[in-house]
Amino acid sequence: MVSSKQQNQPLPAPPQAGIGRTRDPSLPKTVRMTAGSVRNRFGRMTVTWMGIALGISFLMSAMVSSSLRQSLQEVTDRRADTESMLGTLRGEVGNLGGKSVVIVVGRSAGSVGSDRSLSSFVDLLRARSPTLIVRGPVTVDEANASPETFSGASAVISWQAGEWGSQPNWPAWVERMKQLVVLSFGAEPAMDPAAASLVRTRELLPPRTAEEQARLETRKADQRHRLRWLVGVSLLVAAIGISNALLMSVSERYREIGTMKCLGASNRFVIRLVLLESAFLGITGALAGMLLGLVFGLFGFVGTYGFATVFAVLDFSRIVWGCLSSFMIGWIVAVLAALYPAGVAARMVAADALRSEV
Amino acid sequence: MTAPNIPVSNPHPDRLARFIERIAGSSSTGDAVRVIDVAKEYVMGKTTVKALNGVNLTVQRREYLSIMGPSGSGKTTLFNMMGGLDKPLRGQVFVDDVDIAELDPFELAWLRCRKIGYIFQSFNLIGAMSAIENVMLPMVFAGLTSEEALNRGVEILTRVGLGDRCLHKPAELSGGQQQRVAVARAFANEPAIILADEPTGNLDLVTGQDIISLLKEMNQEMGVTVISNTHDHKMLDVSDRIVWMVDGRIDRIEDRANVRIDVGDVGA
Repeated sequence: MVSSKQQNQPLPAPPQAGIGRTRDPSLPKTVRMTAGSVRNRFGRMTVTWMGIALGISFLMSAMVSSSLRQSLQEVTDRRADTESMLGTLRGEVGNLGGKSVVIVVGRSAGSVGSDRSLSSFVDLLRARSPTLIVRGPVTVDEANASPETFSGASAVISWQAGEWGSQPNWPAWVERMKQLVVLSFGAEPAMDPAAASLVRTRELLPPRTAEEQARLETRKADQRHRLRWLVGVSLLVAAIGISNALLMSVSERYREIGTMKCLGASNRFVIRLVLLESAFLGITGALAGMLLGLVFGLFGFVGTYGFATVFAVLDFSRIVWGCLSSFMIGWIVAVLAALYPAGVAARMVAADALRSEV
Repeated sequence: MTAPNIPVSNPHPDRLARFIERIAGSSSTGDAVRVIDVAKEYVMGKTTVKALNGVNLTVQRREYLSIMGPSGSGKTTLFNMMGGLDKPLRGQVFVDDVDIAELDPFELAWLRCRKIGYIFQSFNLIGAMSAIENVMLPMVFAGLTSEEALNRGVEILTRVGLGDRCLHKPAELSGGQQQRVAVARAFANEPAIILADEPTGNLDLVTGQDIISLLKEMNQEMGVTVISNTHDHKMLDVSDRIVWMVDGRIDRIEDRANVRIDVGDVGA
């Protein structure tokens, strides 16, 4: 710090004598000061806080509604598939009234209860033809253990079949299935040629034509694109809103920061104080915004589709992920936005900070 | 004067040599503030304004000094220099025999905290804090425990006549009361120097007079140097010396006792 200019001038006294270095108040004390400042400034801070909360709730509701829209679309697609499957079934066995069908779940499909499209298919089957007797779904092993399940059945629906044919008593009940139709979904049941020659197998859901497939894919890509755009724009809006709120809240305090520096606050302490405060604002605001956005996002759909449908299709992992990410974005953006004006204020010569009129 | 602490390990040999030279070649003058040939310029649009143009001034301990002059004469700038709030373009400022240009930011913060008390025209109390919290703030920065700061804060607020207003927010106090809180805050760490920037500028005649007498009392009781930057002629009665500034220079220095007019200590 000693310049050559100073060296040439007469220096009448030793510097630094009796000078100490300021020590910042401890972290707990700083936190307490921040808490006091937040409490005292509550009314004014509410505006900043609401800026953060609204930004995040906007982002959150965009995420929730896009997730819900996607889930609902999946349900609609599944319903269309089910309709198509019902058509196939009718085509094979005629009028469904009074007939009975057995649903056998292949080993590769896992447990019976876990398949959503299976349960929705069964539900729809029962809803559409109340007189149709639906047995099962049972697993291949259960079916092998009690072949009488099949007695009197008009059709067997093999759901994601996997291996069928290697069971020891398979030929015995395939004998009785001579007049049955085996409709397969997902995969053809693998049976030995002797058994296969006895039954008629058909695809339950006819494969899509190339044109249909292409249309479906275009639609999905289109949706993904729209979703990205929506979330991206709301992220931007939230970030700008939060930055603006924090910028204002710090820059209107330049004078106060200048005063603090006059009273002995170090630059580091000023930054710490501002960051703690904005972290507090950011965390609580983002939390509130997240909940608000969740509620608003859900309620929009509940109004249209009804409570039960919305909660039935709700993809919890996607919602939780949306919650976490919007919460993190909220408070990180808040702290980052405060960092810049805090740095400016801390670096300001105290005289300038005092002079600034906001 | 405390013994200078010479560093044991010596990363800057030439600096140490200069340091020792300084100690050997000088003795402590005991002045509160010394301003040596200080200049400062501001760039305002396309023109450069010379706010200070070679000012020399020595303020003794326990002195009550007023700086007077028309607006734009550079008194606020000089004042900020003496308080370590602004850096001079040229020249040196010594506060309590310490060259403030030599201090790092943490030492400067320490100096502002312990050695200097500031009083502002617009009070500059922290609006969100009560009177007692405002007074405690510099003590918190000085490292006092909350209890010590509270006791001392109540004591000093009582001294300025606001013992019953400790928990009021600045907005709940009159202008004169706010300035009293600011005075209490400035004196909280028992500084060597009080810098008062137009302390009566926002007050009416009577309350202004109150603040002036309070400052004078504190000046005599605690032996604190008071440097006040003012337009207010009421201040002249209590000042030991009056510095008149014109166009960034000291025009003259008047000694109140003798009503003698010095030739201004105009810089080179």
